[in-house]
Amino acid sequence: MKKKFVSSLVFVILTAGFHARAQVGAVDNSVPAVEKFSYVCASDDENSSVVLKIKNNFGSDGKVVTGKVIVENGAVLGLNSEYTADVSFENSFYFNVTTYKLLDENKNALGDFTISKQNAVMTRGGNFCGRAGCDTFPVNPSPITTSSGLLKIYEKETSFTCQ
Amino acid sequence: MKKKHLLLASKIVVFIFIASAILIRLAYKMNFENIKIQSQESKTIEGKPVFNTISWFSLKDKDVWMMNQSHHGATASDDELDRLAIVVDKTTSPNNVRFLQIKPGPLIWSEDLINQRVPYKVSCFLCHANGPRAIRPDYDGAVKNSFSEKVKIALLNLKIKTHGRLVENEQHAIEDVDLKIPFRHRSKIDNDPLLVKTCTHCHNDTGFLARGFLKRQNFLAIRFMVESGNMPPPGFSITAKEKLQIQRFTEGF
Repeated sequence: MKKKFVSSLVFVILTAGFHARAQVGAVDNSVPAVEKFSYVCASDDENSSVVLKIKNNFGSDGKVVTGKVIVENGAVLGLNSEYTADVSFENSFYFNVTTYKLLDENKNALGDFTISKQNAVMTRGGNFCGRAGCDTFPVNPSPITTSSGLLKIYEKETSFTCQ
Repeated sequence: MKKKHLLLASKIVVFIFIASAILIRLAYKMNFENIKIQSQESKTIEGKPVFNTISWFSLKDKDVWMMNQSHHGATASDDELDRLAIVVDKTTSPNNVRFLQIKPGPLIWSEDLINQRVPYKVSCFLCHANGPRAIRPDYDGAVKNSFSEKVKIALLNLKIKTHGRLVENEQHAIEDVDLKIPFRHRSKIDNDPLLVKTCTHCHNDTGFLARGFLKRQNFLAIRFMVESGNMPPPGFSITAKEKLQIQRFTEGF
């Protein structure tokens, strides 16, 4: 009886162990997680399929220290497929502006990609909500879904819309 | 003979100039109180018309522009109106200007109103880069202005132009530190100047036509003025490149 109990216990432990291992394996073998980008920006030129995907890299203090700019279909603009970038921020009541200074492999600056988010505090649908309007109908600082991007590189200027 | 004609022509020009100056001087003796307009530029948050009632008082040391603004239709009750005053201090050079939001009441100026201030509902400098702005009524709107009112509005606009460059009263910078909604935002990016060449003929800090640089926080007014065709004024035009520069500037670039 005692022997049967011990063998059952060993069986249960082993089964549970294999099950847990199988679960770990299932996670490891899952579809790779979709990489999260800080911004995905598509060219405003409807004839262009250039897309810039921006990833912010954070330092140990939680602040953005560098950026990675992944370029899709950028050959038309003479762009490489990827750049590292120095990042700088300028924020105000009305605007949040982030500038990615694109660097080559020797850390030389090639150009800038600037993203500007205009805060929606004072406007809705392009209309200035005005004094009493703001007071009576508080405008939700609704999450901004689009921002403007401007790439200046190789003496060219290309505008983007970013999500 | 030719010299005689030239002399006569110059006499006529001088006469017209002096007569105009006297007429304008006399015209400004008129009553400029409670002129009601429908604003061409401002809209309520729902896109409905905004109505302004404007009064102007010229005192020895100051010009006072007062306005009751309604975002609640043409027949809003008194307590629904925003009472505002722009005080141009004529004792300094350039003149300095102070903006007041005052508790609701009639458009009658008294020095005591300084003590009846209430918090701003919006930063004045957002639209007012250089003191009072030209009055731009929507004459096709609900308010039907008489000929006499239109003449008065033209005279008031002439007065606004002749203020020239105005600087903000130094009290604003001191008071803004403690205000939730300041008179003006002070960060660098909000105060970047618009440097488009055609605009800086007038919107700069020096010269006869100077009206002060436009700043990035004036982006809503800049957009409206350019898109509505009010700017540039007759005699000036902006190139496609300058238009793009203005667009970029107002977008934060």
